[in-house]
Amino acid sequence: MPHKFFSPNFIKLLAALVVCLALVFLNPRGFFEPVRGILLGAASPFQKTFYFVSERTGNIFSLLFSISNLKEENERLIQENGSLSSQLAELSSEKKENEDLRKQLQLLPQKNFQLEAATVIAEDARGMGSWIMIDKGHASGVEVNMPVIVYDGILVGRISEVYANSAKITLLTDSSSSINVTDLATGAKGILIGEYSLGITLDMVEQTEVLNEGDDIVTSGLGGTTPKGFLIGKVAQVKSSSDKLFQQASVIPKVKYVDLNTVFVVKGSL
Amino acid sequence: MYQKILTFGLIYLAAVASESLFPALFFGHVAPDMVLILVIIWSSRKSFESFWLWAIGAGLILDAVTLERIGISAISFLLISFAINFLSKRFFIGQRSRAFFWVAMLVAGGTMLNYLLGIGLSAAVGNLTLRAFDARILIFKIINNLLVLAVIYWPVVSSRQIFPALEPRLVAR
Repeated sequence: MPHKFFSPNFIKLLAALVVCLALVFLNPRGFFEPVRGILLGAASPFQKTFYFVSERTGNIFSLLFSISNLKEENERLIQENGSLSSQLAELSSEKKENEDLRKQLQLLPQKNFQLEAATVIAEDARGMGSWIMIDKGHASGVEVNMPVIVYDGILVGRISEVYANSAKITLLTDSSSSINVTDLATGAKGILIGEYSLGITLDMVEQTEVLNEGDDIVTSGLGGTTPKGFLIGKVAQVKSSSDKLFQQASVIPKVKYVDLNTVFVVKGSL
Repeated sequence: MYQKILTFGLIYLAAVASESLFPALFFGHVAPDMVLILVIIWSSRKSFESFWLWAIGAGLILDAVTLERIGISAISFLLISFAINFLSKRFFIGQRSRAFFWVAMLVAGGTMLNYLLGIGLSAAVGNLTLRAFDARILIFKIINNLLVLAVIYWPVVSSRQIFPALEPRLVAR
């Protein structure tokens, strides 16, 4: 008897694939969100415990692996300490000047914003550094599109999904992240775009603008979604776009997103 | 019923652990695909008709907990489960003495297929671009998955008391 090509298993496979593809591409809005909310709600205590344990254990592993580098690191730090001591005296006089500049350039004054502290409880398991999850949600007044910062007003991302007691933060390294920014030193304006594990890129900067390596990049406030003056990182390398119409620059974030433990959701102005 | 709930709980905890527990513990902050490994182990030992619904369910749970588009992991696990069952019937019947080696090969291949399908489907719906493909991440995933397989393989295959939900029913003749 000839073997049937369309065996019962194959027919089951095809039928299941059709249903799953319909789920993926049609994605009935809000249909699965209640179920997801229940599963995430039940997972929340496990997530907090797991993340706390993993961070502590990860730190121990890092320490063990770095023991061989400690002597070299120690010698380097002693040298650096000496030069820093001499700089300290100069910096004290520049402190006043810095405060005046912040007022002029309208950098973020922390005390003018309502902040909600949150703990990171999960991260992108694919290793692309696209998102993290925090332990605050609707119950704490967190809403979609709210910016998220760490200490000193450093922007790390924005809220993209919110559940009862948790929320997803899309980091600046995600490809869907797009923020209007400006070069703090030269005033050059552009758009910051995520490039997954390759970091973040400053794009669409006009050729007439000036970009220098080492310049600080801050949010420009254009578009109205993110307040002006949040620090993001430093310019690492400047180049032209493939069509030579604009300048581009790779930007090194001020903080390592994989090491985040506590973040602050900017809920609004005071 | 009790065993089914236990199996569901194991899949659920594995999904939660994949984003909360594992990233900081493994190479490159790349979490191993614990749920995928369980699906592969079970698929290599069970018939497709007894396991296909569990493969879909495991994928849906993983997508819900890891904030992915619902259905992407289900498609991946379904295809992988079917392929493994096909290969097991035709090539591995006489290889029981080296079962772990063959399962390790399946985990390596399944990891690649799952990673590529995940990126491809996510790109198709606009959640990602194909530039998200990173060979370094794929290599880390294969290494981390094999490490986890080495730890959990024997406890999982010998835990008939815990997972008889996935054992084919014995029919008295």
